[in-house]
Amino acid sequence: MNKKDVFDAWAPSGACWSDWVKPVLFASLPENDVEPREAELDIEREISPTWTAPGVALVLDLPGDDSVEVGLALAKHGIRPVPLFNALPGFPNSLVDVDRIQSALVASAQALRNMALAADAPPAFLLDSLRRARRPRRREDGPRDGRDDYDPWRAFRPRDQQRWENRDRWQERYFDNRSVSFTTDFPSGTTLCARGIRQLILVRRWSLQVPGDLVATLAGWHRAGLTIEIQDIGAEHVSVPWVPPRLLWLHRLWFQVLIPLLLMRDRTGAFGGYLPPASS
Amino acid sequence: MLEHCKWDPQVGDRATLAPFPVFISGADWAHLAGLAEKLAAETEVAERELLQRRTLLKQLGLPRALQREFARAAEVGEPPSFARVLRFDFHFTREGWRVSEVNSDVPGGYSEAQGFSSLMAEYFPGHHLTGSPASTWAKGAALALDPAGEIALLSAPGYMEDVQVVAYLASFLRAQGMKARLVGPRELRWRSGQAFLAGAQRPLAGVFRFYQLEWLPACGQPGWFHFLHGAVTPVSNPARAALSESKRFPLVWRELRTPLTEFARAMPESCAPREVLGRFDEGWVLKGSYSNCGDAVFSNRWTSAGALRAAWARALLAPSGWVAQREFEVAPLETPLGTMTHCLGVYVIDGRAAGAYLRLSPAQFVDAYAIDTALLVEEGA
Repeated sequence: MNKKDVFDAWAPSGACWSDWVKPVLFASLPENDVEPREAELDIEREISPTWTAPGVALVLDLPGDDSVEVGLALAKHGIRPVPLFNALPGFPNSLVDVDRIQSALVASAQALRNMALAADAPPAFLLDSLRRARRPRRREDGPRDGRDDYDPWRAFRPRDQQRWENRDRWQERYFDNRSVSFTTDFPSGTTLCARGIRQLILVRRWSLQVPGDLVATLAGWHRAGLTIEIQDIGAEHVSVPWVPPRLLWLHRLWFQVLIPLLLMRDRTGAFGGYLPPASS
Repeated sequence: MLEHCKWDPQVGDRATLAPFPVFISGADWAHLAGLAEKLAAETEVAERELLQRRTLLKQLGLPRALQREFARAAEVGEPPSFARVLRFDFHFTREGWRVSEVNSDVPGGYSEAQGFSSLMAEYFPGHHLTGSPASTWAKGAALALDPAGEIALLSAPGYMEDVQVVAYLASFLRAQGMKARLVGPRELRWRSGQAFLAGAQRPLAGVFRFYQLEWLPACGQPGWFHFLHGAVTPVSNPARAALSESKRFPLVWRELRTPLTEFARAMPESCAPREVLGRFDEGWVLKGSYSNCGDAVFSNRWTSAGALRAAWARALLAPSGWVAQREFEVAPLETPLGTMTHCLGVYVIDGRAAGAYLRLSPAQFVDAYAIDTALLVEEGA
């Protein structure tokens, strides 16, 4: 396959959600003979029956390639996965492991193409829940609970574990390629409604919180008349309905202030920067 | 999208690439290109004079740290520069072509003007491109710099729309046989006036700055002032580009010795916001001095009362950060997507017109949600 084949598999011409597919991870693939580097996909995932009900769209906010795997499992049920990964690839020692996502996209391209999904198949928007991975805590802080995805160091999934563990000795610095999701990354509520979507399910793992950068998007959809639900696939698909916070304007303001603070310090508002080595 | 580094083809519900081109006659294009070249020549001379006029710098709304370093640049001299690029925003009105502003510091849109337009031109025989700004810029860089050296293309990481621009230009540098590296501000080091990549032994041949100058003081990177003075590594664009980038640039014209006759003819009247405080509804627009993509452009016609009040409060609290510009009526363009307003960006590289593209908007002014459109010249017209 060449990179255009991979992109076309995920954003086929004529499919009604293809326009929203983010091209950045596809554009940085090699021109020809694109092969996944290390992806072994597990697409035999448990799918909640509510996800495949008519009029339902999904936002899969799951860590890294997990999002791609669940997306592909959903494709077997006639749902169109729409990758919205916005992080920059190609930088050495990237903080967000985009390579695994990229490999998963490549590895699943042929399978997705073979599924020949309907042009108007309902969408599952794929996000990386680690896109805004918090800044690493100092090690002496210790883990705060036993959940395996709670340790922010581990969440970065470095490719070379040994090098990562010895990062203090190596004085290693990691490139901050975190990103945020914007309202303009998605179709509007009006468009979703016009295409028969009535309910939106946000799928997360070990959390029923809406990430800060998704609040405005969900609120816009809610205003357009969609019902919103959050499901936690880490806790046996526990689900809760969601309504926008009463002080949404305050939340927006707060989030606008937080973006430049939480993403690597840069008073210009730019997100990038190298993280210093961990304190020991 | 994949070949021409266009990574933001969809913004919300709007596709940002028009499925049709707009044609311009050869005579009109020649007129616009000539006008843009004259404006570019005036811009260059005015910037050089401004650099020596410290009192005028204060009026442009520059951060204090930059004013200080520009004053130093006037004393010790600027770094060498290469491949100067400007983009003038033209609008067709009943009175002819008007210019709303010059994107002098970090103009983008190369992929839309060259890559996208050339793809469109393949389907329209008898029409040709207005130019190839990315190729022209890369050739200019290759001529000016050490061909065996490495060029760093500086942008703000995380800003996808900026990184796609430098990635596109890097591909043209590589086609010229040069080495190109995309970097963020923290990867640059300055030693004895020479720019290096972090950890590198060999100095860079040049630095392309796609990073707004007014951001540099805040980035906290030691040596950032080398972009303004004390460096021997060539940079593009020169730091003084930020002087004409200011939307308050027209406010200092009358005090300059440089005659700006083309600017005075083509650009609408501008003044300090407080001068129009009581008569803003007589057709004025409020603009931030260093606004981008229409992110701080306010008018009675398209801004809600609350947002306009907030903008005025900011303008009165920090007057040097704002300018009032006389509104002008842009001729509407009938397109397959409906009636649109437009903005035609003309590139000038090293003094010569190098291409153009059009941005369309169904709204009343052209902003970041604009639809990029290929502009093709009708042959023989």
